[in-house]
Amino acid sequence: MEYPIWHLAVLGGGFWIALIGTFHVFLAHFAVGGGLYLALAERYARRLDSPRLLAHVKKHARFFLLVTMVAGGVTGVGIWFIIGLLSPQATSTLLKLFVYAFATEWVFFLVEIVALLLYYYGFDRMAARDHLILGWAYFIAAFCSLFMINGIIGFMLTPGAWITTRAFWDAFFNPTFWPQLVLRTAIALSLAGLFGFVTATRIPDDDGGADRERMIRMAAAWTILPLLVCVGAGWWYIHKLPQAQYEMVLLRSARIAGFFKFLQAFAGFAALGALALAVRMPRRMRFPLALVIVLTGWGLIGSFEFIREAARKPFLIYDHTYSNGIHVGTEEAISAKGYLATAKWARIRVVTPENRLAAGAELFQHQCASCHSLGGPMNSIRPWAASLTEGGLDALLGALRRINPAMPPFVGNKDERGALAAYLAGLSGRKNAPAATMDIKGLPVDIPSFDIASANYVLLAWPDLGMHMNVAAQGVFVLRESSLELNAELIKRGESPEKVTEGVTLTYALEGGRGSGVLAPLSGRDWFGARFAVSPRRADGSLDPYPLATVTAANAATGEKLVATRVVLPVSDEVDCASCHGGGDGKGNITGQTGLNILRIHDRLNRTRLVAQARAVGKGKTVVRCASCHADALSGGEGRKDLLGLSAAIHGFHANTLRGQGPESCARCHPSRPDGGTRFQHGLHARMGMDCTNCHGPLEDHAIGLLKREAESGKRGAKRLLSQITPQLAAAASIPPRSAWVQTSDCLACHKDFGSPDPSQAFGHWTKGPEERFRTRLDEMGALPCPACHGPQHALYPSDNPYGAARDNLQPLQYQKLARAMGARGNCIVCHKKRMEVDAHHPNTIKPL
Amino acid sequence: MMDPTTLIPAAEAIPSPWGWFETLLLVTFVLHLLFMNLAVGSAALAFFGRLGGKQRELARELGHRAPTFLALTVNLGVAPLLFVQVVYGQFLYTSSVLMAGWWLSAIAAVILGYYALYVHDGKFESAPAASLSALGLSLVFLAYTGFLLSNNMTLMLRPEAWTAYFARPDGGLLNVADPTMWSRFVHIMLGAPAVAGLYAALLGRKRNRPDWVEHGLAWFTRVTMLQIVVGLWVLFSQPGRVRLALLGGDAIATAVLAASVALGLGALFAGLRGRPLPAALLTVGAVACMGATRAQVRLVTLAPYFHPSSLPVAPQTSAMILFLVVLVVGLWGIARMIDLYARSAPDRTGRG
Repeated sequence: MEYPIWHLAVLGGGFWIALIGTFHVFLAHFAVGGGLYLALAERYARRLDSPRLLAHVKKHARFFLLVTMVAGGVTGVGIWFIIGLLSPQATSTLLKLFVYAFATEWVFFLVEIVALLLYYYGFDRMAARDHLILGWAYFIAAFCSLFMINGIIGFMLTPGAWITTRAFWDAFFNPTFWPQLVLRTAIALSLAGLFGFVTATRIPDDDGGADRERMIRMAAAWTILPLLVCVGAGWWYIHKLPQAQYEMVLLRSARIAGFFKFLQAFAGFAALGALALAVRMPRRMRFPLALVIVLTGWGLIGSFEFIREAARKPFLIYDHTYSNGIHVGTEEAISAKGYLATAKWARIRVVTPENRLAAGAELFQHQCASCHSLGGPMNSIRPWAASLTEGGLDALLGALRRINPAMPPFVGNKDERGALAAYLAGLSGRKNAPAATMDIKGLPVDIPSFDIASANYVLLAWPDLGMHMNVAAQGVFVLRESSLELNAELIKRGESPEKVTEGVTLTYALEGGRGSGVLAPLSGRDWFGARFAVSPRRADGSLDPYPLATVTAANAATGEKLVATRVVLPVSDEVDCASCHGGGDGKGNITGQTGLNILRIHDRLNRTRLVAQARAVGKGKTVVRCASCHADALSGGEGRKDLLGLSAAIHGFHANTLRGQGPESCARCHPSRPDGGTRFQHGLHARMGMDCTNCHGPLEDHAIGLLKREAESGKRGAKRLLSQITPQLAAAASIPPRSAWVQTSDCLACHKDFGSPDPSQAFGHWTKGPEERFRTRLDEMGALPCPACHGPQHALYPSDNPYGAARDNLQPLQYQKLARAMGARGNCIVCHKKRMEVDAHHPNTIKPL
Repeated sequence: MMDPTTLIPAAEAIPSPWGWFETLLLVTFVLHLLFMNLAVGSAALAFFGRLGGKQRELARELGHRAPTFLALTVNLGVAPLLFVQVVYGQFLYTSSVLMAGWWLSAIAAVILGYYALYVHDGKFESAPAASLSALGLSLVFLAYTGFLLSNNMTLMLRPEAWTAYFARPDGGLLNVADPTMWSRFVHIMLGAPAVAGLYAALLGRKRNRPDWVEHGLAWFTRVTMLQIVVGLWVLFSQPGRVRLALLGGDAIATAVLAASVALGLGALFAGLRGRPLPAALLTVGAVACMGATRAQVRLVTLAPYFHPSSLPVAPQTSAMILFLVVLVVGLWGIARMIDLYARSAPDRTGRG
C-alpha cells in the first residue's frame, strides 16, 4: 500500500527469491557445518601427524573461504536486496523489529570473516594450538549467526505470542525456534560432509590412498548421520507448528506434498551418494560424482526452504503481513475506499470502462506479482487464469482466502475485482462459449383417452424425483448419472377402489423407441416400479429434458389391455459449470475441457491427482467417479468415511464463490436457468412465485445444514467450511443439520395439517427421516404416495412445462380433464365413481366447490 | 504534476532514538568507505602498476590483499545498509524498487568482481595475462557497483524524481539526470586510489621499499589534488538550498564540511612532505568528517519531506544491550585473534 511495485513479467518475484534464497542458504549452512568440519579435521590431521591430511585441510579451507565468504556472504546481502525489492513493507517491519538481532548477527559475521581469513592465511605459520583456536572461533561465530537468523526466520512462520505482546523476545524465541535450530544445524553438518567430498576425493594417494579413504569415510559419516537427526528434528518442528501451519504442511498444500517428495529424494540421493563415494572407486569417477552429490545438498535444503515458505503462505509474517505486503486487518477498510485509491503508488486510481484492463494489470502487479509470474518457470498465473472464465475468476477472487488457504484475500472494491478478473481472463486468449439462451418450442402431446363412464381402471404413474440430473464431463469425471425410477399404481375403480398388484403386467415404453420394459411390484409397496437410465439428449444431440413414457397395464393371463397413461420423465444434463470453469461449447452440458479445469482445482486444493487419472482414461485408468470418495445417498456411492459427502462438499465449497445470490446461484449447476433448455422449476410452487430458495434456502444456508450433519461425524473440512460461510436468512445456529437426500423440506411445515400454507416455514424444517419425504410419504389411508396425485416435485399440478403446459399435467387431464391434483374439485369420481364426503386421504382433500 | 510528498511511504516505529542509529550508520559507513577505498584502490594501483610494468611487486602485494579488503568492505557495508534502513527505510526501499533491476545486478557484480580478484592473485605468476585481465574486469565490476550505490543513495533523496516510476515501473530507472549523482560517484571512487596510495606508502615504509613509498604518495597527492576540484563540483552540483546550508546556512553542516576540507588539505600537505603516517591519520579523519558531511547533506536534502526525529520510538532496551555486549565481546575476540596471528609471524614480514 505504501511502496512502489517492481513490475515483473516472466521471471516473477517467486523466481528471484527462490534462486537467490536457496543458493544462499545452501552456502550459508555449509558455512556453519563446514566450520566445525574444518576444526575437527585439522585436529584429526594433527593427531595422526599427517602432512598430507593437513595439506588437505588447508586446501579445504581455501575452497571453503572462496565458496562461503564470497558467494555465500554476498548472496546473503542479495537476500536483503531481493526481499526489499519484492516486499519492502514486510522487510521494513522485520528490520525495525529485529534491527538489534540483525546488528548482532552482523557482529558475528564480522568475527567469522576475520577468523576465517586469519585461519586460512595463518595455516602454515601459526602454532597448532593457536590455529585451532581460530578454527573454533570461526565455528562458534558462524553458529551464533545461524542462531540469530534462525530466530528471525522462525518468527516469520510462527510469530507466536508477539502478535499480541509485540515484545522482541517473544518474536525471537518463537514457537519453532528450537526445533528449527536443531534441524538447520543438522542440515549444516550434513552439507559439511557433502562439501568434504569435493576436496577429500582429491587427496593424493602417494600413501596408497589410506588418508584419502579416511577423509572420504569421514565425509560420508558427516553426510549421513546428521540426516538421521534431521528426521527427528523435522518431526519435532512440524509438531511445534500451530494448527493452521500444521494443516497446511500435512493436509492442505499440494505444493508442499511435492516438495516433501523432493526433500526425501534429495536426502536419499545424498545418503546413497555418500555411501557410493565411500566405496573405493577410481579417482576419475569420484571427483565428478562428488560434485554432483554436492548439488543434492542444494536440493535438500532448497526443498526444506520451499516447504517452510509454502507453510507460511499466504503470509510473509504470519497473521501480520500478507505475501503481497498488505497488512492483515486492513482489508475491509481498504476495500471500502478502493485499493487503487488507497495504494500510494498505484498508477491508476479508479476503474473506468475505458481503463478496465489496464487497471486489472496494475492490480495484478500490486497484489499478485510478488509471487506469480506471467508465464515463466515459476508460479505462472496463466494456467490458472485459463481454467476459469472472467465470471469464475471474479467469483474466485471474491473468495480467494476462503477457498485456498495459501492465497491472501483480494483487497479492493467490486469494480477492481472485476477489472482484475477481466485482465486475468484476457491472458489466456481463450474464448469460452457462454451457455446459449435456449429457444424453446412447444412439443405436441397426445393425451390418452379415458371414458369416465365405462373405464374400470385408473393408472397413476410418476417419476421418483422432480429432476434427474446427469452430471458428467465426457471422458473425465462422473458426478452422478441419471438413474430414474418410474412408479405406477393401478387402481380398480369403485366406491372403495382397490389397489391391484397381482394378475397384471405393467409395461413402459419411452417415446421415439428410446427404451421399454416391465415394471415390477415393489416390495412393501402397493405399486410397481422400474429403474432405468434415460438420456436427456436425442440422437442428434439436441436437448430433450422431458421425454414421455407410456405406461400400460394389461391382464397378465390374457394380455388384455386394461388402461394406459403417459408420464413425463424429467432428466437433464444442463450443468453450467462452464460459466465459471470455462471450456464450454455452448451446449449447456459439461465438456471434457471443463471437467479437466475443475479437477485441476480439486487437485490443487486437496492434494489429489485426478487430472492425471482423467488424462490416462483408456490407458489403464477409468474416469473419475466423484462418489467413490464423496458419499452420495442418492446414487448409493459410499465414498470415504473421512470425507464430506458429495452434496455437502459441492455446496459447501461453492457457498464461498457464489455468495450473496438468490436462485441464480442454484441455476449455475442445476437446470433451472430461466433462459435455459430445462427450466425445471415450473409447478404449482413456481406459479405461486416461489423459487428454489424458499424451500432449500439460499446456497449458504443450504450448505450450512448439510455441513452441520457432516461435522457431527468429524468429516474433514466440515468445520472449516462452516466457519467460512455466513448464512443469508438466519443465524447459522438456527439452521438444523440435514442429511442430503435422506431428509428434505417437510411439506407439512408450511402446509400445517394440510391447511393453507405459510411459505416462511419451508426452509429449515426437515423431515425426520426418509419416510416423510414427499416422494415416499403416504396419505393417511396408506393408499397413495404424494406424487401419485400431486405430480412430481418441482412440477406439482397444475404445472407449466416450458415445452407445453399439457406435458406436465397429462394424467389429471386424461382422467379428470382438469390440471389439478388428482381428485381435486370433486373429482373423487375418477377412482371412487362417486363424490365422497369424508377427507379420507388427508384433511382438506375435499374442499367446498 | 503529482505531489511527490504523497508518494513517501509511512514509516514504522524504531527501537531507539534516531540519533543513535545515525551515529552507528556514520561510524560503520566510514569504515566501509575506508575498506572500499583499500579494496578498489589496491586493485586500481595494482592494475595500473602492472600496466606501466614498473610496479610488479607492489602490484602483487596489493593484489594479494585486495580480496581480503573486499571481504571486509562487504561485511562493513552490511552494517550501514542495516542502519540506513532503520532511519531512512521508506526512502531507500522506494528508490531501490525504482531501480530494481539495476540494484539487483549489484549482487552479481560484486560476486564476479570478488572472484576476479582471487583469480588475479591466484594466477599472478602462472598466467599473467589472464590475471591482469581478471583484475581489469574486477575493477569494472566494482566501479559498476559503486555507480549503482551512488545512484540509489542519491535517488532516495529525490522524491521529486520518483514520479518517473509512473512511466517506467519495471525497475529500470537510474538517477543519471541528477548532477549530484555523478559528482558524488566520481568523488567517492577517486578516494580509492588515494587511500590505497597511502596504504602502499605505509607498506613501503614497513618493507623498507622507498620506491613503494614514493609511488604510493604520488598516487595519493595527485588524486587528492584532483579531489579538490571534484569536491567543488560536488558542492556546486548540490541544489541551492543544500549548497547554502553547507556554506554557512547550517552551522553543523558547514562545520563538518570545513573540517573535512581542513583535514584533507592537511593530509595532502603531509603527503607532499613525504610523511605517509600523518597523511593516513589525517585522511581517516577527513573521510570521517566527509561521512558526517554526507549525513548532513542527506538531512538537509530531505528536510522539506522528512526529519528522522519525527519517527516514533518503541524502545527495545534488552535487545540493544544484547547487541552492545556482543559487539564488545566480538571486538575483543577480533583483537585477540589478530594478536594471536601477529605473534605467530616469525619475522613479522610474512605475506598475509
